[in-house]
Amino acid sequence: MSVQDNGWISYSSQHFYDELLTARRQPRRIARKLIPYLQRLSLDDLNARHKSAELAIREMGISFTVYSEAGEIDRAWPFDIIPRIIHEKNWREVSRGLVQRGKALNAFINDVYNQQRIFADKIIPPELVLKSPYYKKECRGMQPAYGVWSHICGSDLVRDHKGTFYVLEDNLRIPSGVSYMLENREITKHVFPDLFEHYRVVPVDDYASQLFRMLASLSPRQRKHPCIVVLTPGIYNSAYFEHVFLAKSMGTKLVEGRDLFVDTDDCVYMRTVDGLERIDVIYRRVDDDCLDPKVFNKESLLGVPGLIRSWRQNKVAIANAPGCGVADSKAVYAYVPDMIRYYLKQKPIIDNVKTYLCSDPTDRDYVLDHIDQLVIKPVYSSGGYGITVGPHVSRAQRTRCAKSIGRDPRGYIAQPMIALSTAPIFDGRKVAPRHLDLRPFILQGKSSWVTAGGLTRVAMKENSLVVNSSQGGGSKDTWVIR
Amino acid sequence: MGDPVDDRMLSRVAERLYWTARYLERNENLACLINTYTRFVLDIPTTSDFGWDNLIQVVGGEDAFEHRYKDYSEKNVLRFLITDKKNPGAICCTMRAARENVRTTRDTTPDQFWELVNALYLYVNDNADNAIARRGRFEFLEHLIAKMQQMTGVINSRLSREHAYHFIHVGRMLERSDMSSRIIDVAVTMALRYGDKTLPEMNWLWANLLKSLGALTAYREIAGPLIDANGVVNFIFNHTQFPRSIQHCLTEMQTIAKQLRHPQKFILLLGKTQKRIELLRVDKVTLKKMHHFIDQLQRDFSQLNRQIYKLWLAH
Repeated sequence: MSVQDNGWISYSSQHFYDELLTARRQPRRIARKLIPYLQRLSLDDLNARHKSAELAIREMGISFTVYSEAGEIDRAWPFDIIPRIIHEKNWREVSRGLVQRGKALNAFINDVYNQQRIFADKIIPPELVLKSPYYKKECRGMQPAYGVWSHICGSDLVRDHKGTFYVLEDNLRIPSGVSYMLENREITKHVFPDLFEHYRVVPVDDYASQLFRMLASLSPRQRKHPCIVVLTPGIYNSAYFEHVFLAKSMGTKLVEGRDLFVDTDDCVYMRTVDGLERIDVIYRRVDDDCLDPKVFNKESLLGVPGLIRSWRQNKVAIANAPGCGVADSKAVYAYVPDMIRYYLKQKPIIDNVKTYLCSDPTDRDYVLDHIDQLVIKPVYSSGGYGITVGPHVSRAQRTRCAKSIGRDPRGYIAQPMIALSTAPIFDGRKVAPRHLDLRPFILQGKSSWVTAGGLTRVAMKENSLVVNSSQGGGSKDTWVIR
Repeated sequence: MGDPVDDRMLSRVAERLYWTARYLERNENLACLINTYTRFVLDIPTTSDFGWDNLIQVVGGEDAFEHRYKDYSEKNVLRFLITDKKNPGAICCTMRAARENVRTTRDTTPDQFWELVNALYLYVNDNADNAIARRGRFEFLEHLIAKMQQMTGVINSRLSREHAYHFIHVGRMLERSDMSSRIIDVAVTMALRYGDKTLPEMNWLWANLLKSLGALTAYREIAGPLIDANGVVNFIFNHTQFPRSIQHCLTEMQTIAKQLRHPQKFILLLGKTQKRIELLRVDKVTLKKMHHFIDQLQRDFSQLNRQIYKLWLAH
């Protein structure tokens, strides 16, 4: 037996729910084979795997771009070698909940741009929606295929002190991360090939073909091989790696705005070495505002002039549909359970985290009184920017936050601190518990489909709750096991 | 998945593949040349004044070089060719550009190609400084050459003969013709400069030229053990069976062009250049005339490049 501890003996997740170990440091049922296996590895062994993962990432060129004052930096993807495990029985339930949520959100977007029944029935205050910067009046009256606007959705899930799953937010515009989910599995296969003998892990690599099938189902022309492209803003985008990855694994072309143009027949064409070819479906990874300089941001060079015209004439399908971000705000989020009841006449399967809307006077008073216990978030932001974690900041910062809320109550929401679950990571020296979340991906076209697991993001610093890779977070392979 | 969707290629992607191939081919040639030249210099007496400026002349970088460096010392020349970030033709820069291009066209080439280019880029970044002094130079250059050949292997054995391959191959063949002609030009200039006073070196000069093009064995098989200027130049120009000869490269470009859209103008130009080389009587021209002839060839190559743009890359 090794005398080295490697962190297992002193492992303590305090009052948080650890997903692999119980409070008495015993492996949970799902980790009964993983934990003893890892405990048998010496520090040198663990380090060798850690290094081998780092090398694989560097050589496979898995990277993401970070913007800082020093210019953009292409960073290697941060990865922790210990997989996170979820039992399929639990996952099936979560997955049904995600499909339910996705259906309600799409019904909502379609309603907002058409009849607006939900406003008439006073379920959601219209100003909360129509004043959103993501609401695009140019999309009024559009009826995309199957009534679906957000074809690819990435919802962030967290687990509380009991291990119950909650949805923290829904990313409906251009969620990223799925390529890292797929690459994480490849790295784990490379680092721990022997572990797979002990587990039946549900494969994740079906994603690209599911995505392709879904996109093909949107084609306005009935063709055996619709022409599908992935539209990227280019190499300076932080998710460029993923754009390449997806185009490549679907076998479609990766295009930039300047490769495309809209002709007088309102169809979209791409410039090829053999001349022009008409495009049926665009999986765009460019923001709404940059999609079409004739309609949205006139300065943008990333988009295609006339694209919205072509889309409105139903000559091309765009996924996700322009304007779908209207449902992507932390204020609209608060109403998703109501949407599920309203559109689907169902009970929500996964709960929301309790959310206080500062636009509501009662909620606002509560928030201002309890700012030291709450997490305050801007309604329109992503990537973890602009968040104030009440209990963790100084009195001065709390006062500043309260002032911001006073100035622009509609711009903020607040949520209680969630005791985020943890799982062990290996940081190069020892094993220790860290907080994590999970981003599964939901595809919707003719039918719905959810990834097995998703991208696990993990805070690499002790006690930190920030899992965003742009702010030093890491990631883990996520196993759904049978 | 895996459906034979179509073989359309974006002009922008074709352009990047074309340049990737040119950069990599140029680097391989340059690495071979520096390698051979260093060995060549080791063989000649320290008293003779074979200058390192010859290498700068190959890449046509005299102006840029003199603008920034005081003298043509060995170290300065190698810095300029390998590690100088301000010289867009330096190996570190072309490698970076090649990586950027492959990174933006990964959906069209085999995964291993990207992995090799990326790994070599990282290697060059970490190790290029070692190549400045003679001690680490060979190891660096030979690693470079081996990796570049591995890339060629991946392209040849794993890439379908469709557009991605076509543009990579055309780029490589054009760059190879261009580099071969430049390398001959350097030998010609050196023969002009040192011909009378350092006669003993002249035999090696032509042998070394063959070596730097990896053509020594192939030459001997055809022309026998004796090496002379006319034989060597003729071999590199006209020996179609040898894959580094200029005629071979031009013929390859023709074969590829026939599979592209409206290639007539390009093929016409190729034919003109081929005829020009065929008609040259190497044994009848002076070294000076040869130098002018190569100038003309280089103009032909730039015209071919322009035509490639006009026909397929700039829509």
